[in-house]
Amino acid sequence: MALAKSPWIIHVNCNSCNGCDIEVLACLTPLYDAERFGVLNIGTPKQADIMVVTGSINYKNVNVLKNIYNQIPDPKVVLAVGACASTGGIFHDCYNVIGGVDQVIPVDAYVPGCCPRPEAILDGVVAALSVLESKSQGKIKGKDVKLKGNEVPSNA
Amino acid sequence: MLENNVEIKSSSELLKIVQELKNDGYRYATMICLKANDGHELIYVLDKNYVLKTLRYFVKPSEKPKSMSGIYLCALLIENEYQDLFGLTFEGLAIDFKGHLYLTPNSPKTPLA
Amino acid sequence: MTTVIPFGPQHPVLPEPVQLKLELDNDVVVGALPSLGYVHRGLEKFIDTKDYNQTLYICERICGICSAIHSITYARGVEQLMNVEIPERAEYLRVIWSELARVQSHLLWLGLFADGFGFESLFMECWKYREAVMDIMEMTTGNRVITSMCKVGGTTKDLSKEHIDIILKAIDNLEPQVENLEKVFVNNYTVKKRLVGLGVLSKQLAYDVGAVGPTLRGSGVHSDIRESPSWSIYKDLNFKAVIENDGDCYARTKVRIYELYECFKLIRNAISKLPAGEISIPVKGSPAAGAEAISRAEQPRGEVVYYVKGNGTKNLERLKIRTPTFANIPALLQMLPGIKLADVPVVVLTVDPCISCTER
Repeated sequence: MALAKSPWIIHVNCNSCNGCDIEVLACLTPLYDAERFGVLNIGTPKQADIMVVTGSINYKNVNVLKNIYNQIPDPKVVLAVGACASTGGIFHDCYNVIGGVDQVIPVDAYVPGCCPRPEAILDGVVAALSVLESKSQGKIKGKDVKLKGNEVPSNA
Repeated sequence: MLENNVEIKSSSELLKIVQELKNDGYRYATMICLKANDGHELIYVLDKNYVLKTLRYFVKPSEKPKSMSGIYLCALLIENEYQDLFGLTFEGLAIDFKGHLYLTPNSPKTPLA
Repeated sequence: MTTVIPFGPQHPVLPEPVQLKLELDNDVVVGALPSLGYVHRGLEKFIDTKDYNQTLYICERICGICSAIHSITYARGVEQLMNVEIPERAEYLRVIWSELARVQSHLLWLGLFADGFGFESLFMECWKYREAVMDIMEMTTGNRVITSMCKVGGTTKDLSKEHIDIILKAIDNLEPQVENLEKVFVNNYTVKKRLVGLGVLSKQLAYDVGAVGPTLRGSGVHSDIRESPSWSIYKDLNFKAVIENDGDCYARTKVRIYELYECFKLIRNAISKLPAGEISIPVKGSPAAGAEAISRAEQPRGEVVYYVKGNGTKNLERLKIRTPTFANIPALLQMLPGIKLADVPVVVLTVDPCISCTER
């Protein structure tokens, strides 16, 4: 139970237009104040519980995303914020865009919108908390994600 | 049509004119690359006191255009971008990313060409 | 012996992924090389499948922070192509929204910057004040970040009498709050200790490497596209560019703070002169084949250049966007050599890097 009272999040910007990023940051600032749920933004994946991903993935940042996901200790929850992170959004047919975040790592909760309002993001974080709690009790571990197929940059 | 437009025939003339404009106090704004008649058209955009000057130069299909990064260092980013997107090769780039400024070996090749 | 340390792509002070390969001699940076491409989507290709009206919504999503001015600059480019005169009221409305966007962007940057040098309560303070502008955006356009208030031929939304009263009241509240922030950023001993004399870019060098916006004006170069003849409306609104001469991080911070007051003045003047009438005119047809136009505007981060070329159909032949951060990256590379590794985040933040703009 203790974990869900103070989840630390790591914010990963993949291919985002900044719109979702600034709304994620706005959640942490006084008006929306995610800290009242014990949520703290943390810079290092080693201390994080919830991974907040904004933006779709492209051929270059896919490796960064995978590395950060694999470094987060179990139990971990992934929250995809915004249309781009969920499905690729308006950019889904760009030549350099692979698609939503769930093409590479397992996603537990999605927040729709372009950009989602801070209230919606907070709602997503709260929804992720119950997933985190059940993962913690069931001792469910995240898989070690490996890249394979077309998205792997050959110099990676 | 663009204002203050100058057509330029040869690459040595282009370098000379750009150098003269730099001495005259022009700032490098950007360069635009277009597909034209199998080759590419480069439009150099320079700015002085809010007035733009544009230089047009036609790159023949197999020609390697000269880099402006020796005159204006800031030209290197945009030239590297066109190496990525159009598959052009600029000669004498100050820092050459060899077509991998944005794209990885796995991404689509020369998407705008 | 030098060591190469990668700075980014995931770094606590960087809100966006970009990598700088820093070459270090002990603790001092001797060289820096950027590695881009983490946010490259390929938006310039979109014109093949989207018509010129739809492209406006793509341009808005180049960057969430400067989105309002991206769409205005694109619309002005296409209007130039098609020889469309937009109604005067739309011109004024565009100025009001773009200055509001500048206020929120500068407050956002001041907050992130404060966080960058470890002043977290100042970060919270800036972002608290910023919410007042976001509320205005939401009230007047329906969305906080991506506002979609501009279209080819005018604006999509109008400001009612009630909206104007609320905007004026919000600005009257915001101005003393910004004065409080100014006291901290300009006078605080600790802040000055971190910023004065750091990352100096000389006037000549700033001009030669093609820097734009507050980076250029912080080095003493008088350059602001809002003063150019193509933006005659700003002249009517009594606009004056903010210039600082020292070229260090402190000067660039001061430029942005004093620009906030300029924004308030512009919004007040634009509201007082706001003419009645239509907000848009219908635009029919498509840009002529071979017609081309360059349109420029001053974004919070500097000058943005749009090049548009028509081909006689609804789709454009070519769209090229030179964004402000793209022009500021060479300037950043000139600032970094000679500073300590611990100061790198502060210097990187002073150019207000917007990577999603840069790579599109």
